[in-house]
Amino acid sequence: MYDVVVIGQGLSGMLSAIWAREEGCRTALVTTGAGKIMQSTGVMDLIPGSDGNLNEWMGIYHLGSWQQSRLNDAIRKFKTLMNRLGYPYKGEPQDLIPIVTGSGRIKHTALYPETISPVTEEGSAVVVGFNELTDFQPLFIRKNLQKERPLLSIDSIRIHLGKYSQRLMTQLDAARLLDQRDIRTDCIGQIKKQMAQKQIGRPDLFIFPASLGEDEWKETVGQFHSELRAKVTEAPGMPPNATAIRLNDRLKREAIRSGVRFYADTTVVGANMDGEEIKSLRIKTSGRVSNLSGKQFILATGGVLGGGFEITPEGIKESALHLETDSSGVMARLPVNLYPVGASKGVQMICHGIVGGVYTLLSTYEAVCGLRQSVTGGVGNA
Amino acid sequence: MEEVLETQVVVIGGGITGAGILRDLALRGIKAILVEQGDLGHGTSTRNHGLLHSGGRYAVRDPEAAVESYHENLILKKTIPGSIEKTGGLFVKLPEDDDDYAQKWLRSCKKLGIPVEEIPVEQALREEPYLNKKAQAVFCVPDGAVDDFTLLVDVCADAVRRGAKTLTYHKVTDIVTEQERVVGVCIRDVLTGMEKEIRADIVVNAAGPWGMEIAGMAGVPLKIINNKGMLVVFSHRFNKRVINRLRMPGDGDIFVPAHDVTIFGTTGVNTENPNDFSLSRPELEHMLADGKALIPSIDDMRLIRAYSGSRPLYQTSAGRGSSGRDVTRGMALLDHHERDGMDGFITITGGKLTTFRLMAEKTVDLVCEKLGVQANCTTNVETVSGRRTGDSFNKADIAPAARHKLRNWAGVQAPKIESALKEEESSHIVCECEQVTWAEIEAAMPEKGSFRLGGIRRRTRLGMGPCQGTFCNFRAAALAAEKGRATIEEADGALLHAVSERKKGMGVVATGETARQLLLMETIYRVSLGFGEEAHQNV
Repeated sequence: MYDVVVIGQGLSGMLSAIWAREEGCRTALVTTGAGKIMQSTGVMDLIPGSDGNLNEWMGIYHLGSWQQSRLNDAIRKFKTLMNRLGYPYKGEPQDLIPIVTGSGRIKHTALYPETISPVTEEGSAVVVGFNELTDFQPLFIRKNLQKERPLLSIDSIRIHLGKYSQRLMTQLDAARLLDQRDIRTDCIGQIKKQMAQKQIGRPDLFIFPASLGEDEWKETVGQFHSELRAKVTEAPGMPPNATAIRLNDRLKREAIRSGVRFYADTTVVGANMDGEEIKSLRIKTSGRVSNLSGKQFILATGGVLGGGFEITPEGIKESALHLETDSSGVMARLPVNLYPVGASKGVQMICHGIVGGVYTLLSTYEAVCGLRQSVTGGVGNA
Repeated sequence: MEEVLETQVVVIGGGITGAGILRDLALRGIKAILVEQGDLGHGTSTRNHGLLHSGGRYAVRDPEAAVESYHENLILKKTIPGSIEKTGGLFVKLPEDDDDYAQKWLRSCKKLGIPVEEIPVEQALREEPYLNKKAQAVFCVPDGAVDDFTLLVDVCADAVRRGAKTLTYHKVTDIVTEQERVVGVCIRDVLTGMEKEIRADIVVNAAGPWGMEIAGMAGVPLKIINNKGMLVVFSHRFNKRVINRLRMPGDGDIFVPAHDVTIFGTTGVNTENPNDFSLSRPELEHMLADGKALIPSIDDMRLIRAYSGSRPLYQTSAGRGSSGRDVTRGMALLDHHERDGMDGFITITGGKLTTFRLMAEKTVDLVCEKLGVQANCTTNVETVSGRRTGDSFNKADIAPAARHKLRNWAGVQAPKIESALKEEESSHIVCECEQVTWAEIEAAMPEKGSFRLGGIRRRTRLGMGPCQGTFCNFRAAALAAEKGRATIEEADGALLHAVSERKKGMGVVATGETARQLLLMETIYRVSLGFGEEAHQNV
């Protein structure tokens, strides 16, 4: 019997589990597949796909003004955690900053890891791509960025990582290569040489793919920064982005370290109800179905994209617990001890496929606060 | 001054009929230019089942079309082997299907000479495990699967090799007539806006669903019923052979294997507009419900996209109301001199993908007669180069799956691609679903003209797999800009256009995994890559 059972290993699921452990709850995390942080950029937007401000965001997500202080608490809690995990996040939702993407577009985001720097209106920048990496083409990015930043002086160069593979190389593969000091040193040498040849002066900013190291990101960013004597930034785009993988890996390690019990490769196939309360989950591991009981449950299955909702010809269905929902995936009768977080709250919360990192942080924080209140209120002992 | 070209024959329409005519003309030594408003095969020729008919489907209702189909089936298997898979086909009788029809069908096939062999139901179920277990009788016929993309590209390339010319992305704006005689066409380069004129002895209207528009330019009345059919693509191939239902032809009763996927259809709804490629969810559901009779587990299989195309069906008199399926599937060759007193103008329409060669033969026979040229048709024996290249690409340092694909795909392009692959970056895989390398993409790009992902897709299969171009369209466009093969505006425009086109075809079948894939595409472009509002402006 667990105090809290979390379903899903995306940002909302892992954060819920970690924060529930911090509250002293015996916590289980039921996961299947690889987790959808892998497909993200690791950057936390306010309104996905739009540059709208905090007020617009609160309108879209139907948030009350009292939730603004909770949002600040949630962000503080998240930043404290990420600091402790060695992958700090910067930024504030009140003050969106412009970052460059893997297509050379500027987008405005709220929270971003330390490997990312804003792109200024003026000054100079050099886009650096790797020959082996198809997902990040520096000239293409430079030309698109130039449209968005007409006053910025931009150059682009291509260097090679020196590793060939018959399989398509991703930004994550490149990040793992750059974890190696000798490859980094070689890359820096190539950059300097080409800049000298092309008579490119030292820029204000170097723009790289989201590949500046995985475990060794600090050393990688540090070495590029100090030897190139300019700011460096990653430009996340086509998944997998190292920006997201670092977040995923660090949260997962922390969940395991803090004692969250993982039920990996396990699918939730239903819930055993007792009146308005979930008594246990029916879970399936390698073909065997068993029960997993808990006092409270967090549904963090990530909407349609994450697999929590299934679009069927008959309408939207909730696919883990098989609870009855309305046409947008909102549960008709929410069990009293179930807390949907992030995109599990229903498809009406989704902008261009996702709810955005900031809303995920807020709803996860609120769910964990909810757990605390209902435990102290005695529901757990009923 | 506007450019004036001269030739003997202008062929309007870059579908398979036009391409077949162009090749036949070239083989008979007649100078010709093919004019196509878009890319080769953007219309009906690549918006069909890809079924090489044995004639079985028409044996009862349209014996003439049935016989033509069977004969052409045999010829095409010999002359264009690179685009045909000899899958064989099954006609399956279900309990609810009319016994009398089955008897009539058997008698008719026998009479027409279409080989039919009954096989035990148990054997059929063993070989096609997804088939309805309630099947009462199963008959084998020599159906096949046609890759209509390679067919069209290869037939056209063969014609060009023999001296013919093609002008794609050129729209016919007028037919030039002088004293009841067509003497040429006015065309506009849709990319540059440049106007040109082609003077010719004969103009052949092979514009399919757009044929009425062309005839109108010559002042000739023509009634074509555009009968739109919807088809869907499953994520995998679950049948070895073509599966037909043994009943009066209707909606949703043919499953055709196409490489690694299965194509299923179709429907028939008349439409006024030849550019109408709309898709309808109710139509799809109706079709799937019909298909369930043959393949009961159809609802459990993933659909990756849907598409539609119009059959241009000729009607002798414009008055008779018709649902589309009652009109003949046979071809209509119209000598407008005889019919309307307009010399130098011929329309060829109707017919089928399977009978395109015969349509071309008959058309070119008439052209020869008009030109006074004595030359016999040889397309029944002259072969088009195949696609298999034996043990080439041995030295290329590429993934085994990419090598396999190239060996079965590169065809006459093999030496060019093989030499490009020596450069490491050209050997990078751009499309993982279909294992397309940059070398292949570059070989598929036109020498001049703008960068278009649709043209590359039709020639390489880029973006045809389950991810529907989510990753590879971006890579191909960015690489084209990177390597100076496209301007940034062209690359971005092509990318956004390709993404919005793929979305249309996925949207109507977007349930389950395909809904998820569609959302992932939206999230990656709109949110991760930050394409923002411009993603909508290009639709």
